[in-house]
Amino acid sequence: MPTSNRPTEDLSQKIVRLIRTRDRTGLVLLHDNYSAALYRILLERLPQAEVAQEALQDVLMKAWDNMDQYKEGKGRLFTWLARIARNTAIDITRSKNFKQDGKTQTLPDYVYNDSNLSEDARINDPGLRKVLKTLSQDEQRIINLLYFKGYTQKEASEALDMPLGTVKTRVRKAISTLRSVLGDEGVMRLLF
Amino acid sequence: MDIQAYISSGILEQYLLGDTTTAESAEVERMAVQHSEVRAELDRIEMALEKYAVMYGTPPPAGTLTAVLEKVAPQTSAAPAAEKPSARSGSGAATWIFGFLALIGVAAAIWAFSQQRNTQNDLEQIQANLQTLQEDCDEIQAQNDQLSRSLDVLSNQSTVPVRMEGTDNAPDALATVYFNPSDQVALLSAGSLPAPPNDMTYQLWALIDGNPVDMGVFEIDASGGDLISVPFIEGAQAFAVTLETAGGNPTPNLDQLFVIGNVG
Repeated sequence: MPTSNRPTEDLSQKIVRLIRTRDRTGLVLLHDNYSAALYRILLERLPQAEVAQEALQDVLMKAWDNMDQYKEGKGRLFTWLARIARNTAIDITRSKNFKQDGKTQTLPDYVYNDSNLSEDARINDPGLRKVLKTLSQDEQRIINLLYFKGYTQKEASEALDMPLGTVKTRVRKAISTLRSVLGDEGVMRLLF
Repeated sequence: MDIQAYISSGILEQYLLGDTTTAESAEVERMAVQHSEVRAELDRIEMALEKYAVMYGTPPPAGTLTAVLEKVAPQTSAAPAAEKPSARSGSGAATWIFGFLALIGVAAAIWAFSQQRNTQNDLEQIQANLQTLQEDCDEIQAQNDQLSRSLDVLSNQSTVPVRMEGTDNAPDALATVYFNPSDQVALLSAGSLPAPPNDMTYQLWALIDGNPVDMGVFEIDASGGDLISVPFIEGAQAFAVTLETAGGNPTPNLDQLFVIGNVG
């Protein structure tokens, strides 16, 4: 999908416009195109499916209620949605009612769980397999911690027992790899 | 500022991952507006992360969308959404419509019931009125028959009026017996007899050869104009009215003779 920017962009604009005019078709489109990705983000922090599903409904409701707060000039719709998802998951894990099977998971526990990510049996998408083959284990972990789980770079450096500077470098490297693998040819010119 | 150095610093990734301070975020946003290279770089990072997330996505359990659509349903105005949403909103609207129709149904039933009650009441009222009219009619018919018979007697040429004059007990009193030997009928007009005291009643007598024959007790009509049918006594020579104790007596109390008159 090398030059699919335009159609995707149009879809986002359509979703934003529909939701702002209180047309629920916008919500259907948002769900059909982004729910899986948002659910993945939520599952990273909320492993229980019921909790994650409830959180996803929460995220969709927030998108519906607060679409006016989304500023097109500042970034893509999904970036905004992903941020809402990460913050929603963080809020839930911090709430008093949230239980983690009776014990508090420490950061290393999360990291340990992450190591299974690349062997995940659900990963059948050939494009994703290609991406994961290209990314190093460290890069995968960093992306997952920062992007899916919403860790700060400082938290990631503690979780991975890795200097903050190294985390910064690896994040950039990982995203560059993603860009090259996912067809952003412009990346090559910038990097070299 | 060296734009390429700024881009390479990693601050854009950090910004997009939500890990920048407010001041840093403001700077990135300002740089993105001022330098198209920064904006373009941000777009590419966002696209890469978005594609990765979508690729990595896990389909949520079924029913997620439905639950959300149901939650937002009350907030939507009449905005008609396509496919699924409209079906969802339909169920909400159906509930309202059903409730509304049920309300109308109950109201109609109450109205019909009250109407029926009213109709029933009206019918009973009309039936009561009809009965009253029927009774009135019967009464009038009876009166008419009576008057008609009286008129027959009075207008008959062979009827003899027997005028009874008041005695010392009631000097101004008058009464008349209409006596018809051929048809053997007799009528009494109580005339101007005074109203009897309580527990007393007037009694009519026929006199044959000086002997009184009981013709029955009678009531004085307030109007004083009624003709009362009385027995016909063959060979009566005179008629008299006495005041007797209630119910009448076998023989007249002559001290209380009020009116008396001879036939012929």
